[in-house]
Amino acid sequence: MKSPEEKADNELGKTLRDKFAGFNAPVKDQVRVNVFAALGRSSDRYYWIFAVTFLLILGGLFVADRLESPKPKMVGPGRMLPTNGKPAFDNEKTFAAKGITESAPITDRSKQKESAVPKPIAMQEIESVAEQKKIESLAQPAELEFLVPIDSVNLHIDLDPARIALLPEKAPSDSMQKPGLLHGVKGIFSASVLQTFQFVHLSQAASDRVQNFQFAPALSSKSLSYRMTAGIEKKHTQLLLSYTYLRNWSTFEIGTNQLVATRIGERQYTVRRIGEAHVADDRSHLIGIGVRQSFTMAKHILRNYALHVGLDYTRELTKRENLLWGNVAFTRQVYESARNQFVIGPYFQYSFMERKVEGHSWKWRPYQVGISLGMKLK
Amino acid sequence: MKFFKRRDYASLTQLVEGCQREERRAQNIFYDRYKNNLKGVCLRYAKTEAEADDILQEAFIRIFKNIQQIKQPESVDSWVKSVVIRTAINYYHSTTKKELLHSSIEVSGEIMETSDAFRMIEQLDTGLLLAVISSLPDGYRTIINMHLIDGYSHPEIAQILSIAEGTSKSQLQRGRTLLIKRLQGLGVESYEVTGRKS
Repeated sequence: MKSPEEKADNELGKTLRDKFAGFNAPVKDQVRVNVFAALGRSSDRYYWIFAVTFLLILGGLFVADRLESPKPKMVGPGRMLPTNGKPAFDNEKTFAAKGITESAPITDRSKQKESAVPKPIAMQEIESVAEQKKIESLAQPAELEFLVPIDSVNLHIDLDPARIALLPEKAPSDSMQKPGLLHGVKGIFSASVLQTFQFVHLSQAASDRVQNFQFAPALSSKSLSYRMTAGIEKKHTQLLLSYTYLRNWSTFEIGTNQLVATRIGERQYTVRRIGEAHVADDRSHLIGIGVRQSFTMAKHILRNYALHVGLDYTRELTKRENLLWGNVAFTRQVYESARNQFVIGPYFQYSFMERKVEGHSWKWRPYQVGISLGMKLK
Repeated sequence: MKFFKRRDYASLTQLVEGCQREERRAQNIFYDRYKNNLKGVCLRYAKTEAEADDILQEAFIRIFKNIQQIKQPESVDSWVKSVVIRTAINYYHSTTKKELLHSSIEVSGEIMETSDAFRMIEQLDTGLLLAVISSLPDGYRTIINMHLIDGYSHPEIAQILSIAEGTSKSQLQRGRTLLIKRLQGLGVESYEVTGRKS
């Protein structure tokens, strides 16, 4: 039976609870700022870091591509010629440098031969080539159809077909096209066989008493994983899509309240907690995207070897967990043909993010070691 | 596959799971869901609003760091509240325990009947009632909040505050008396003000 004081407390408590039921108060915005500042980076931020990195690499490739593309040079009014090979015709500047100006037209070759003034070396070269081409050109007059109209070139040069034949055989409009973004892009594929290992971090807060962890042996089918990638490479930078089958196996015990004491000497005992055996067999399918940079080894030290360093962002399809991996591969080129190239070498990747198990009894961080075989389509 | 999938967190379970995955958006929604209610709890345990903000801030940090412990997301409401109360107790721990163990604030003079006090509490503005509770010494205020409003038993209070169960009971009795006395004083002032006005 309750005392009068307890009854009074209960009634007072009920009155106060009713009074404060649903009592809310406004919160300053600064509290939110402080809370999330203290929490630091969230997993969401990894999305943005990765996306920004990806965009920066794409942008970098684009800019590098633009910078490397040759700028066309002006040859005459309204005309441009490519410079990505040797110029078909020396332009005005080249002629000037070699002692020939526009005011010194070559009009009569017979007179020129008789001239007492020695010819510049460049002129002699041109003439020797021209003589050779003259014969060929006369034999094949149909090639003149491909020539650029010479009158548009602002040089006082005679219309000797031998000289004109030195112009590029391609149509000018074609030669003005710049290499596109995909110029120099190569397709790459790789397959890796991996053994998965793990670092385990037991949670102190978990209610289950996890003990006696045992992992799969170093070479075991229980922790066999594999990885397939496909992507593109440009200037030693690779953009990859990947699929990873990750299997990780371990056994553990959940401790009970029963203890076994074994006498090991006089007044000395060892105590062991009896546990229920469990098996953790994690099989995950990860889809991801990644970037990788290749560094070719110096030929005089390690010929045909390359080091690859990369980052992979993967997502586990069923549990919707994200993992960020760092990876390193060291490959040797074992075959090369005109169209493709094969490399093979050890591969290592390490997860920067931990995975959680149900019940949050522990977290584990996977890392993998294996062999990778890669193919590059040129 | 959508790497940037925007989740809706339609249920409380999904919201808690999002916070367990440390997803910032889930944490923001969770914060918005509880902030005002928990600020109310903090105000009851704190002496000033600034201290209530400090307690609330620390409590939310603890909540997000320890939310992995929740195995049944349906029970998150009570868990969140208990985290706030424990944070508030820790905030005043040194002074609270000292007062509970060593102080004995004697209440002199006649006090009103308990039934009158109930009536007054019912009619009193919540802000004023909160001000009266906040004006109580830390030890009394904590035990009144824990036992009378938040429903902790004396053994639970004794365990949380590391005091004897008898101490909890006696301090509650004194705290309740002081609360009623201060309410009485507030009632007289109100009466006097009302009387002058009329």
